[in-house]
Amino acid sequence: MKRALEVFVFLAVYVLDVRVKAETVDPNEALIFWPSHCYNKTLPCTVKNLTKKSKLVHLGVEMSLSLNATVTLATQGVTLVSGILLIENNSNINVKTLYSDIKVNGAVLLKVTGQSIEITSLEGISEARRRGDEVFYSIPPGYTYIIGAVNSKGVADFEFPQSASFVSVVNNWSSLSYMTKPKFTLKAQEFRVSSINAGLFLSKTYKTIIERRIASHRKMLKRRQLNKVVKQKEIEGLRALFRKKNYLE
Amino acid sequence: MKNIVFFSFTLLLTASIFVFYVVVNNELSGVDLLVIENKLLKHELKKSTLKQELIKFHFETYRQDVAEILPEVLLKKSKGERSFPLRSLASVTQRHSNDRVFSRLGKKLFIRGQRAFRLGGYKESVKALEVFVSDYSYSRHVIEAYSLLTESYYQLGDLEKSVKFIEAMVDQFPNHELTGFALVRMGTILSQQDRRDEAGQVYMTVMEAYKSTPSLRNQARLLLSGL
Repeated sequence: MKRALEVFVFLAVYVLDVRVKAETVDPNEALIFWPSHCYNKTLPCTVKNLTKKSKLVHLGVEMSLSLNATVTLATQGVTLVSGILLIENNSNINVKTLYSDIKVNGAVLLKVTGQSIEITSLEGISEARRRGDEVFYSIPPGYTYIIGAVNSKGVADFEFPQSASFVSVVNNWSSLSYMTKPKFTLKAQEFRVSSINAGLFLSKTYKTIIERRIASHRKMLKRRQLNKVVKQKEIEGLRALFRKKNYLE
Repeated sequence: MKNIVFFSFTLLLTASIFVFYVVVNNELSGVDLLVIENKLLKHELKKSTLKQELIKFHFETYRQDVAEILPEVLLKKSKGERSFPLRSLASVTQRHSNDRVFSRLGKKLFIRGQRAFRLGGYKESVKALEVFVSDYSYSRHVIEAYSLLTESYYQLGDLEKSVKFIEAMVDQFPNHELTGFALVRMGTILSQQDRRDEAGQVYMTVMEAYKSTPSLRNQARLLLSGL
């Protein structure tokens, strides 16, 4: 028996080629971290999502990342590098982007596009400050603010606030939210009302602005007309004087 | 009896070793190792993409920081040769997004003018295209805009302005096919004004200068024969 065992060990030593894996890699991993394995261990920690959506918890705030979205988690908040970030559940956190700083208070949907950042308040009144400016502007629910790159005056370009595009926002929101269906439906209905109200308010504001512009343009045209008449009269007077002096009349 | 036990044991042992070998070989063969290596490399690639994205982001952040500070500095040192590096830096920090928006706005204006022309709204077309020509003179649609302006003014009966734009086309885009057609229009205008000799010269010029465009040549020849 002992002999047989010896033979087995002898054979095994020559036949077996045992290899050890260098690192365990999950091919279906949802998140990539930089530095490696930094999540919940060290800060700052950059996270990139490789699946349809992923949930992260930082400073007690739950956030959802879209496909290929990248964020850097830091001690003072989160930096959104690319993609779409959803923060909901009455959260309070500071989010930095390339062109703005956002104080989230409630729920927001942040979308980094090529040249700008779109901030849509879903719930609660969040605040945003563009680069080069000191003032934080309030973003009520239903509104979307678009902030662009820093211009030649040293401040980031800031578009006039818009009412949120309901369909596109809800599409992004539903694809990233971890809420239950009935709760989401309720929140979406509330958001719809907010966006409609925002649209109504902004249309009134736009109307007032446009009316003011039209009025000022009319005033300018009237002034021009008046100037023209005065100049015409001057020219006629001069012409008459010229003719009189040269005995043409 | 002893032999039977021994042979049975040896057979069993050999079979076990064989099975064990097959299983382990499948698990850790070269192919499996390559698959693992492939996975590792893919993971590394994802990581380096992330690092690259971060570096790009930091660079953009730095650029925005500089753009934020520059206007103040430029106000103090914006004159003279010495400020050239600063002004050069300022031009680098501005993103090209404005250019893109600008060109898109220009195209919109051109399309508006073109559509108005097609619908016969020559006044509206002229209004849009004149702004387009003056504000977006670098656009690739500018030659078409000139051509439409020429035709719009002709349709409106403002022959003087029509000729002015034809001359601009001859100055700026002498080799373009549309300039040839504009010259044909110029010939028509001249013949309407009873300046047949000049019209004839224009048609002759078109026939000589635009030999590669048979339709244009034929049209000019036809009009020349009708003089």
